[in-house]
Amino acid sequence: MIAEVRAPVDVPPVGTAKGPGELPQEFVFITPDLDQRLKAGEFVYYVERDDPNRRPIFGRIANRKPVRLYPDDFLANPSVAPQQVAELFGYEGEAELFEITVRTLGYFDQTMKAFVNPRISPRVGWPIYLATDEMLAAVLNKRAQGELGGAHVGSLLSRPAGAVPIVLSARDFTSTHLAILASTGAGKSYLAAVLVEELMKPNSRACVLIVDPHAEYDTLSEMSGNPAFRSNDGYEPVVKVLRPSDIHVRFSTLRIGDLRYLLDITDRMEYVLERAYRTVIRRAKEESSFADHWTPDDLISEAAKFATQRREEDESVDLRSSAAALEWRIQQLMNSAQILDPQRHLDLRTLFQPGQCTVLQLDEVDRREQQVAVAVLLRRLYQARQDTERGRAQKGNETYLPYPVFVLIEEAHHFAPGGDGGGRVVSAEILRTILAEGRKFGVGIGLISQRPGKLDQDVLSQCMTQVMLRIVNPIDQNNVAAAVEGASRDVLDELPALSKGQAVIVGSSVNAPVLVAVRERHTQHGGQDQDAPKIWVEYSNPDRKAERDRDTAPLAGPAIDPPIFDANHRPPNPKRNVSFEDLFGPDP
Amino acid sequence: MEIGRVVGSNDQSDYLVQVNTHGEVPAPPDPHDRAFGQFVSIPFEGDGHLIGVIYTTQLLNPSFGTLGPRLSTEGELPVFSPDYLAETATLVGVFALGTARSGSIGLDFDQTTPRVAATIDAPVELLSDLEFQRFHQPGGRLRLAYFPRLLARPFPSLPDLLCVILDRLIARFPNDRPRLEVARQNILWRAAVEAR
Repeated sequence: MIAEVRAPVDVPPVGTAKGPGELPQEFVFITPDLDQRLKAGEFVYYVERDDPNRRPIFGRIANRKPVRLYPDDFLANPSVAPQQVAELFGYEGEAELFEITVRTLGYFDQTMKAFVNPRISPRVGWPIYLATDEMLAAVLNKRAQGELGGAHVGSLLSRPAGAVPIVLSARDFTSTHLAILASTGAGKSYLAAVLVEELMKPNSRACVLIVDPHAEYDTLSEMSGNPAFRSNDGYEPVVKVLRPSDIHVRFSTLRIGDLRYLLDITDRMEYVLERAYRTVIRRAKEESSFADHWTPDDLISEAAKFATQRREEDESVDLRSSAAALEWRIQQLMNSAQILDPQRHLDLRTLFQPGQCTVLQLDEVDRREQQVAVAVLLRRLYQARQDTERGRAQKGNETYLPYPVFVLIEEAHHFAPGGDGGGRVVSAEILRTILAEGRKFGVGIGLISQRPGKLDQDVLSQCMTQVMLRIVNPIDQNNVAAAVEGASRDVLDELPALSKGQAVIVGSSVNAPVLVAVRERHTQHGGQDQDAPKIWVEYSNPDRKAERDRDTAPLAGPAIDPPIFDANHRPPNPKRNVSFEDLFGPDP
Repeated sequence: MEIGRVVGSNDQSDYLVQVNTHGEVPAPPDPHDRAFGQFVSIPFEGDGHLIGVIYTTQLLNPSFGTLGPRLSTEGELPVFSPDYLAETATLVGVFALGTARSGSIGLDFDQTTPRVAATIDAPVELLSDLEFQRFHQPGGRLRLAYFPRLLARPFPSLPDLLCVILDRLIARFPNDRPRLEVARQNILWRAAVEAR
């Protein structure tokens, strides 16, 4: 429970209100800012003179403009400080004055748990104060650190490290979805891992699935056994890392759209496939009451049967070659597929458990197969959650999942791309559905992308919590600005200037947009870049070279595999001393 | 050394001083002593002095423009028209920059506008190098607090006046040369480039 926030008394002000700003929600104040503390993004407050409760009315510094500076002439000699020149002329006071533009957040209403804008700027001459760390921790966070559902991601960037912890509301971002957007190398997978760590702590014990196309989240398995994640009641998170060889998507769980997408077929083949698919599903339902109890062979034989039947019905229609081509493509798909399987598939109950983080490593898997795998899994998950919530799933059944689930998807722009080709990708549709309606059924999605410009804008705009790290590309910045409702322009202006590990967080999980220095991970980071020069230099290290020579040296004895002849039809290595007899036997 | 007497003023800080000539004092000042940029002191009632700088010189000649013939020859003028000779005068303009008052340990210098004015006929004396140095070190540190007041009274030779003062200060205060040079360069820049 957050206590009522009151402005402390006997605190020296940092500036004096000048009047309203250009926008209705802005005001400006003047300050010498001797301590250089009033930077963009910092929080200040004022108190209405007649307010007996001394409720602080908070605002965020949006702009800082000098109104009085030393003249350029005083700066002519770099080794002479302008203050020295000013002193010469008899001025010994502080020269600089700043006009600070503040965007008003309002006072924090304990009933509504939100900032309420008073819609009137402070009177001229009213003192402006710097918000204290304690006040900010109380009003910016929806949860206290360590409280149920509190996800401590770092501390407020404008304050010393750790002074104002920023704690997201896990309840909000796991239900109304999350987007983590950043340029490559800005630390988005690091931040995502911090969030997962928080979700797996005893105060959340979440049910998390990570779609990991680059295999960089396996270090999260260090959570098991780490005291930071243990609780007195015996809780300890379980981390399951599934390699591509462990992941199976049963062929029969594919929909006609998935098959079409994977097989890349002609119109005639599509016609045959559609008819065969419908027949196979109908028959499976009739025979076992399960629509997904069939195999690729069933589909192939049904396609051939349909083509023959059509030929018998009408001699002018010959679909047999299309059926044969379809058969070949299905077989090719099954031969080359890494995770498609005629029979096996992942049991939802093994993937999703409270207190369990499952990492689905999809590296080495073809992009289309990845998309289909994610689409199938999300469809099954969403269906299971719907069935459970509506009482259609039986306890003990695979589709009985009586708890909310959070799915974190790396490289989300591959799974829900925007633009003209975006609609074709099979995973985009189910993602759109879940992002629009998933909160009702307890399915939360976290999207991570380094190209927000390539991400479907409908999908992105459904994420009610946005975490943005450094974004330099102007197209990506504009897309973020268009899709992110809660971020004002001044917050987005920070994006190119952020350093690694610094983030802007806006949306439903915090009470106001905040700039955060992301905390250190408890587990090691797995997504680091390779240090190429170091590896190259090590390569020529004498020890490594000797090791390589050993590994590549020809084996002694008769097993000589290297080429016997060089381009001149001579043995390539004269030291080998290969005789004519060695090669061709005794001279006849 | 006395160089003249106060004969009038234009305002609180701007005084007119008639330079002593032959016949008035046994040793009238050398032209260099009453030159542009020289620092002078003028006593005022009580125990203080105004400290000022000569910023202009005027030559007064009432007969200039009288084109009619004169009855006396040049040699007869001291006998028949002594008033004519007395009417020509050399005036210098002195801008009061501050004050010097007797304090517990010698003179206390101040660079603000003098609150007490000089009187008519007050003697104007040349300021010694030591007093010039001490006037510029009120409180022990080099100060030019009167510069803004001078800058607020623009006249064509002001940049030169400021440069004369700064050159003298640079010679007296070598340790402060860098910042004095910044000020000097700024004045030259404004006079040479921005004034065009």
